[in-house]
Amino acid sequence: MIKTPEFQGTHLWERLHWAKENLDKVQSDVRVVYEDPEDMENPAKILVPDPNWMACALQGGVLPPVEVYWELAKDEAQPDFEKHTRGYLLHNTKPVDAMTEDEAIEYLIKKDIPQHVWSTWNEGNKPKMVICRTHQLPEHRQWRNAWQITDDIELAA
Amino acid sequence: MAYGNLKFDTLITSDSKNTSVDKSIDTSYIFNGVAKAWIYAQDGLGSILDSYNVTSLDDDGTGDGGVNITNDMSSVNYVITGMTDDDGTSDSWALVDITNGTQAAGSFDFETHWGNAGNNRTNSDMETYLVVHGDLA
Repeated sequence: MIKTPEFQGTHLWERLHWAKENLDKVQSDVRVVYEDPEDMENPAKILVPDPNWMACALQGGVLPPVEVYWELAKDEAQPDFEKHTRGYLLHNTKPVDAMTEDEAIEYLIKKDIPQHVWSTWNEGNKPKMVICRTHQLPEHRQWRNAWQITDDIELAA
Repeated sequence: MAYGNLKFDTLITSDSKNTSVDKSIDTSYIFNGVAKAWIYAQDGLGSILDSYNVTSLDDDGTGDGGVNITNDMSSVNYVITGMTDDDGTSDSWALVDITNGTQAAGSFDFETHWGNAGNNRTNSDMETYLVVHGDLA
């Protein structure tokens, strides 16, 4: 495996250049299905990991800790937000080490799915979020806008 | 063998093939003008065929998706351009648009749809090509 350069302090966008040039894409067949209680009129959503991003996650030393995105999200949530002034957190925070695929999916959930979904995923009448494989999704998309997490879903331990 | 880095602020050409008059461009123009993220998404948003600066794709429903960015943009004031595959049709149009109010520094939603002389806009799954230009955080 190619060694990741020391990237702390290097602009994240430049690191992605390095990754694009040096890492093979990793097409994960893991999908995250979730329902947003604040958006119950719409069908279940499905999160699809990016193959270039997954390569970075498995390689290590490229991506910032997920908490950096939470900090930026806090800034953006301020009513007077106009422009990010703490973008340096993406570039200067020590990058995370290599992750397993499971750890990468957990990172992705915490970055790209609303916190009110993943932090309470197993509260209520049924799970709000399920991690599955592509073959476990419906084969056809004809009724895509009616897809929901089934009420009697059996969760693996 | 890997090449080293060449650091410079200005590119100058003698333009010898055309006018033989020097022309120059500040390299910051080049950096500021290049695409900061792009994605080629499969019909049905089942997978990402290729991309740059993307963490994930949301499949939110028929013709309804979202893109999550790795290196956030500096603000919500950036530009997205997009195309969809017309699936070979000759009597209707196929379009992609940005879902109103969803543009954030690190993500945006989009919808793909078609229509023709006899049918109003109808959301539909299509291969989608999106490009982001603007300033990075």
